[in-house]
Amino acid sequence: MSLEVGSFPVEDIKFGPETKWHDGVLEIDRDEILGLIFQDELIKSAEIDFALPGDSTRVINYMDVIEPKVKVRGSGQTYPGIVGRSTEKTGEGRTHRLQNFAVVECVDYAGVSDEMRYASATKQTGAPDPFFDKGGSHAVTAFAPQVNLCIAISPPDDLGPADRHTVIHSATMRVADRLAATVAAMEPPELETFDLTPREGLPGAVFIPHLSSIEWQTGSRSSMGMSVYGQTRLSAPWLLEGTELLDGAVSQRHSLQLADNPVVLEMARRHGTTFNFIGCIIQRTNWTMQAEKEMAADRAAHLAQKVGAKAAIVTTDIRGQRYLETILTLQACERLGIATILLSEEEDPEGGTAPPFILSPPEMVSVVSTGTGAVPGNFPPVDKVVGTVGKPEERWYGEQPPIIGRYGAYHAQDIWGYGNQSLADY
Amino acid sequence: MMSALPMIPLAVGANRVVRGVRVEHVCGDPGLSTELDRALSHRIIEAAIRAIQTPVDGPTEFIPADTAADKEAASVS
Repeated sequence: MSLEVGSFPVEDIKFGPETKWHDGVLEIDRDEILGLIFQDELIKSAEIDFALPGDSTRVINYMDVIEPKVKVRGSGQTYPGIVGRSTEKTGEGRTHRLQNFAVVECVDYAGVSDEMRYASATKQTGAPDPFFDKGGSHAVTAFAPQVNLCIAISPPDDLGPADRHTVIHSATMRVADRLAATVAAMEPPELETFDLTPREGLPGAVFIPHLSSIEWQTGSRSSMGMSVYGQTRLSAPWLLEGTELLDGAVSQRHSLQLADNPVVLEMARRHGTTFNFIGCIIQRTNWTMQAEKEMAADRAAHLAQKVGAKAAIVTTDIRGQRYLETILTLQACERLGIATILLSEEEDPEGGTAPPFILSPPEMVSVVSTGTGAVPGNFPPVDKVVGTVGKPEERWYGEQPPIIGRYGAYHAQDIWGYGNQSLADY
Repeated sequence: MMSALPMIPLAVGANRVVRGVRVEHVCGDPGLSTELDRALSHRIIEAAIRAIQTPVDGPTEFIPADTAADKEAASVS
């Protein structure tokens, strides 16, 4: 089980006559990329633009952020299973990626009724519209540092939320694939090898990310929400190799953070030193009865024990009941003698009146906090706004309210401490 | 306190917690027929009424009676 990851850093992006990567510069043939988007006749209007780190630029309407990756050796396809892609197992051979770069999928809901928009269940009504800043005092979230190609698409008419997602995300993936293809045949400036063959005599460790499923809103066959090889349903825990995650086997909604996950990368890099990185147990959450949550937690812990885990890192992706499910897994693992570490953001501070965690049972003995995510002070005004097909609303150029905490603030979510919000806390 | 996830109110020190059904419908089950749904709601409410009349020493969970056997369970966490 070995995966080589070839990284092609992107330092700048510009339009040009040919889509290519050369010496850190990504050149984009605008007509070609727009042509890929409009390949689906259901898409009537779209626009592309750049967002560069350090610039006074705000990206709005984003739904997902994707790092282009391509398999150059070994089975399967990157980001497998979603939007009709191959479900063949990934995680071996060689993958090339555009590093410090991401395609941003923006859906421009201008002119779309709230009823149609929020049926998508991807944003809580009343929560702030998703956005991130590329420069200035508040360029702190996970998506600030990369060079971005932003694709803005108006949602096609007369489609339900799931079909709408499939159309838009397919277009995004066509573009991501095209960009990744520019480096498929090249020798990467950086090559990192992840050989996760277990070494004898070392204890095993697993990563158990808890990732919510929106099955209760969308049904079990929906294309929407975080997916494991395309499956978004509320399922029993999945056992995946760390290298499969690096190939994007878990994606959508948080694609960049899932496919370039700091926990997976660090566990993979430290594999064979003091522990064996046995794998990732993907635990889906949003079971709706306590008994179901307890059952799911027991299954994950049992699986961890069966594969020989002596230690586990558990994370949660939204607070509230999803946090409860994470703690149940932690308890179940500890009961089986698996030393379990919680890596989590904290509750919204609510002016200092809220406890950092809604539950902290005796089994919870080791916690790493990524902070509350709160960033004081307003987001400053910006010169440029991207993420719309037409002209952005004037309000987006002005100040935006501060991040109070991450809960419900889609634009500030940073489950694994990928961004720099916490640095502003302490 | 009625909750589909009694673990949370018990952990924060609610004295009497009645176990409900699911997060999205705490006091009933739309999957049941109208009569059975109503009967279930009734049992949950009865558990709540009994809970409020029961002296407790600390956080205590009250589980509504089963359909089959009319038993009332109470467990201290």
